[in-house]
Amino acid sequence: MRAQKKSKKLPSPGDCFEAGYMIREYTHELGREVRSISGGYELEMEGKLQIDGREVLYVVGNGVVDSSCCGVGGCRYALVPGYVRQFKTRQDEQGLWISEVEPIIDMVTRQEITRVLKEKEIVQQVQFS
Amino acid sequence: MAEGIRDKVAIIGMGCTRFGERWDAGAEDLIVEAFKEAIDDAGIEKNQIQAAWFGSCFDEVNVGKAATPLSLTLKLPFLPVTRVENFCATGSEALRGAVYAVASGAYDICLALGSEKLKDTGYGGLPDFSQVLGTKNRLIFPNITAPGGFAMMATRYFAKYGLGPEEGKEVLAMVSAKSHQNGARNPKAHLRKEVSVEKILKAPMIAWPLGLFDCCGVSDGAAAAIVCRADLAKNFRPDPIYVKSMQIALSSGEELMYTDWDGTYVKTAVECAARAYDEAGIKNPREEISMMEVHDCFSITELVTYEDLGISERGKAGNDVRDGFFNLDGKIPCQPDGGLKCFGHPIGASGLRMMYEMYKQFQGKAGDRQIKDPKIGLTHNMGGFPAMNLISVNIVGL
Amino acid sequence: MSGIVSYGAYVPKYRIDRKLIYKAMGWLNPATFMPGEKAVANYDEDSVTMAVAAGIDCLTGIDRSKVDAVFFATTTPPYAERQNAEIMATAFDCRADIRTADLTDTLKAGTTAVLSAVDAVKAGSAKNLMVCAGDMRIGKAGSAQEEIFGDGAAAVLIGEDAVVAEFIGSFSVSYDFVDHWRGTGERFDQQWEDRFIRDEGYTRFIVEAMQGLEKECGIKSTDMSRVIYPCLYPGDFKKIARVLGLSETQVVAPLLGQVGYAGTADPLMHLVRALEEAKPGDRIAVVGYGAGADALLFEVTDEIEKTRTHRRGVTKHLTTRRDLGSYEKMAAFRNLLPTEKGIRGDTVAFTALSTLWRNRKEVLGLYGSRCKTCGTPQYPVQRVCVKPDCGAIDEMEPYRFSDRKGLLFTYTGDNLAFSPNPPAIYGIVDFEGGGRYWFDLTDVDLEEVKVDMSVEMSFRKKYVDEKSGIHGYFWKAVPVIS
Repeated sequence: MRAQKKSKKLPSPGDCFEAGYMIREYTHELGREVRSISGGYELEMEGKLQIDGREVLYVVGNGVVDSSCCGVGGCRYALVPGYVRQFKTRQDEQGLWISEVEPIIDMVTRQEITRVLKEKEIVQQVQFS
Repeated sequence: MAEGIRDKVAIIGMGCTRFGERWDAGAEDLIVEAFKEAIDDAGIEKNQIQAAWFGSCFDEVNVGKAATPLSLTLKLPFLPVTRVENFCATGSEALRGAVYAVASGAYDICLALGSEKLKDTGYGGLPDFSQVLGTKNRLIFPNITAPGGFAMMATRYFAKYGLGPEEGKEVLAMVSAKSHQNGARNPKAHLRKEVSVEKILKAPMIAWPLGLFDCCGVSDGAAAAIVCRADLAKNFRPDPIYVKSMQIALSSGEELMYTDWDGTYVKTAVECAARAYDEAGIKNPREEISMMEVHDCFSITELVTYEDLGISERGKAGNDVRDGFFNLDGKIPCQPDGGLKCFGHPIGASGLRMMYEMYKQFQGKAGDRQIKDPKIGLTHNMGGFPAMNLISVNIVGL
Repeated sequence: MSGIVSYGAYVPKYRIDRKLIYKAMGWLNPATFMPGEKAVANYDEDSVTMAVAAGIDCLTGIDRSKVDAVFFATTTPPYAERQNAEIMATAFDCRADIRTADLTDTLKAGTTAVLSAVDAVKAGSAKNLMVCAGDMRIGKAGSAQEEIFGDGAAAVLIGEDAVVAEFIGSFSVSYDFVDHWRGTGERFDQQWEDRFIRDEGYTRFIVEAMQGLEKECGIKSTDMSRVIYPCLYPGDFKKIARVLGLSETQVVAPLLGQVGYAGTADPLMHLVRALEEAKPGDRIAVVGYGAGADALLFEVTDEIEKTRTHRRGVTKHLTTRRDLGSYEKMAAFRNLLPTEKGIRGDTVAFTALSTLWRNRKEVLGLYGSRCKTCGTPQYPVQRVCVKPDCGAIDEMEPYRFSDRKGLLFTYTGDNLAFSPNPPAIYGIVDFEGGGRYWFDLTDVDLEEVKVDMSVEMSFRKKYVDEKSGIHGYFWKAVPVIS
């Protein structure tokens, strides 16, 4: 996958830059609430999509913002760690599985994945790593 | 010729309540809790206090205006008590009032106390801004919240320094993770949990590009300080700390209404820090400052503040963050108590809570967050938005 | 000669595929299906904001101080008392010594307003008169009206200088024909059966008005280049054409399948559409239908060519569209559903009307000031110059920002701020020529917003204080229509 060239345009949620490194580790952990001072989130389920013949890993979570300064909110959202390189290849000290993923940096692919996930999983936000 | 206040005032006692969702405590309870610890710590009687400064911002929704909430709760004997408010720098403003009063020579011992009980408002957060912006501003301001106001600075910062959204979020996450690590070791913090960078990055967006862990939250709390003339301090305790500088700076309007400001830093902080360093005699902040508590309402604020305070180079604060420069075991530990991320932000109290941490660190009472041999401590307190704000920079030392 | 000097129109960007409406509510009244899509005003739009947009389009390149009167035609004014036309006049930056009027209560108010304007100009009471028509009509969930009504606005400037379409003549009939009605304070229109409306009113009055127009002007319908009349029933729309002897090219294709039936704005929107394509010498008739009918005849002059370039009119707005995406959003925007706003969303600070009066040009007209000493434009009006090394006091002159474009200096998409169409997107705008301020953005998705993108200012409803019945207006930034 050719890395995107550094664009002269300024970034927006749809833009992407050279990732700096192509492979990342993703730790699988579901069903555990993570709290911040203004709210919390819990990742609920994982899934895979086929996009352009490649497998994309995604995770769906629910966030709640109930103690922030300026309002109450939260949403159902999706994270897209990336294309699956090696699925659940090792475990960490806590016994959580780790996969190797390739972050998705192509803007058009991101838009397509966003569209599919919003419809399929009824999420309000889609974030890419 | 005006001289400034360097080394004219000492802090001889401080108190700080446990911060959190204090359903068990009303505003009066928080005030008394902070006050008791402060006078016990100073070893003084209430009747030795000659004047007081009371910081409360939105708490007037709970307890009313003026300084009567403090004087009535503590049964102060017809003392001069002033209520101050300067948005989120209210706590520092209260301390500044007390310190300047002593520095002026008008008083020997003064009290500064900031308190905010926000959890009685019933809707998770500060009272709606449109009620407090002013009758004209509410007709023309955008639908702005604090996260959004600061998110705009993050957007511009990422753009100027070529940080992609994911790269930028990662730097912010590191700033936040460090604070949570420190807060986990602090019994007075609201939130005491370590969170990894990876976990932070999995959180949802609040105001693009700021996510859940980039934002502080609402909390109840109070903190207090007893200050006295520097030459009297050792009568009270062997280990007072001395005020080197207390400066504030307010926006001129040019950030929002004139096109020079490039949106990637806080102009007032630069001005304020310069004056504070001048007054305190600090020439090289990166080398001379031992520890800091800055206003980390949002991670981007903290990141930009490293640069505004002249510690990191413009655009390079991220490198320092990655190098662990501001970690507890780094060169300049920042947010050793966990900061707003772990304490939340009871507005009237935060500035004093920051000073409380500096005070305890100097006295070797910071438990397993103890920093070795601090010489100079700096607190930075901010109110408003990057485009329209006020900054307080306070320097203390031995 | 008097007639149309300039024209403009506005169609909201949001469109909804009627199939979505039918999918949501067609189970209730299956006979309501209509093809195509219709325009849905955003939550921050109403008949006034749309009419302002159309009016600004019409006033492109025209000195606004020349406007002597503003008429506003609508059946859906936000205010029953507080003159809507004057809110618009302030947004246009008109002088104070003008006449203003709201014409309402019937769907022919648009054409009646044009006739009154022509009369005023002919009588010498005004040299340039703005006529704006805008409507945001709602139908009950599952009704045919919900399918047919669309939102939109149009504006014409009536005057005597450089007339592009000369007013030739008119003929009106007025009947208390209660095909539909809505009492004061009622939200929804009610109507009698369609066959009654078609047979007794729709197919009669339009023909009667046109036949009267033919006699009045001495020109037969068959000799007119275009004839415009509303399309309420497609079959009878064609029947009227047959009765008048019109060929297909003479009939202006209805905007029903792209905008919907836009009430009082409907005839004028079609008139603007026709003018966009007209040649000198074309004779264009336009009929407004409601409580009878007005028929007006215009003849296009050579001046029409000069109006082509800058106006957006109907055509440009038709192509600038975005999918609304769901019936529920439409229902929520139009307050058909009682939605949960939370305590924060429900709390609206009171409007200090004395503050609004003092600052009306700044708020409604987006006026700032420019320092005479250093030349820096600044918003809002300042008495002390904001430029750091200037700071001159009371050296200001008025400076209008509403028609200035700018670049989006920075922005955010805020999921916490209450918004009827989240996320709340807002940012800081640096204006062309100088000046900077922060504004809400609208009509845009977060993914499309970019730092330094071109924006322009759009007059919008900023808030509604439902308890007090106050609609607060201000300007928001929107992407420039390329």
